[in-house]
Amino acid sequence: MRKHQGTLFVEALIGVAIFLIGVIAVASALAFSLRAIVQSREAIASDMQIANVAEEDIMYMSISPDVYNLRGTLLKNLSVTLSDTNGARTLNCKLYRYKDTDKYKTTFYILGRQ
Amino acid sequence: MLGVVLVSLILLGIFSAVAFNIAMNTMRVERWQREHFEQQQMQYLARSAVIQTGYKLKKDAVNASYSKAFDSKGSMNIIDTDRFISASLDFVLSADSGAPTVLIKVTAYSPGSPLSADTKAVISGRYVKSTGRMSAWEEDD
Repeated sequence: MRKHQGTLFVEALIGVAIFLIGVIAVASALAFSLRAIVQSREAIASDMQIANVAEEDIMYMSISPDVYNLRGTLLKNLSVTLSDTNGARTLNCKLYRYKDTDKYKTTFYILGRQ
Repeated sequence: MLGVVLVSLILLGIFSAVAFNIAMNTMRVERWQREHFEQQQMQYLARSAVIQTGYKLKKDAVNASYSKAFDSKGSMNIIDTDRFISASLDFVLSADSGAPTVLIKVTAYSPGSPLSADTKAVISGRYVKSTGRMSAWEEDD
């Protein structure tokens, strides 16, 4: 069968169109990945910041367990009973929450004295 | 023309492979970061729990003249409904009769962790009866 004139041009156009769709899809995926990497970097910075505050507070608590101020938000009172043959000893403490902005859900917890 | 199409397909394939590779690596790093973060959460809880237990012993006048043995155990559950986080702390206190120190060991783990059931932190420290302070901190993996 004889090909019509211009058929090759149409085929090439279709080929280029399919290729362009593919390139656009790949470019979008790359852009998404790059955005995810940037967000991840921000999340790591946020994690580090709040972790540093929590770690500092634990350090102060360790150095002077009698006198310290925790910078976290008081969440609730907790207690645990430690029992053995000599009897029971109840440890009462407070749970503090260290959290960053709601954007990144970074949360740490520390037990403070009652 | 066939050559152009073939080269284009190969290029597209390479671009796709690069994009896929970046996405997979990003996801892997993300997961590692999340696991590391959960581990850190448990460490802070366990460390502060050991400090509070030591402080409690000090307040209860467990000093150099206190000679009773310790073999205490206890558990505490922590739930934060705002953040859908739950953790459990297991306390162990042990010391022989007349020993100068009391070993305080706290295991913090997150039973509801979607990432790994093995995420836990084991922190121990020794409460020194004569000084009322903690020492010999250790962290087990």
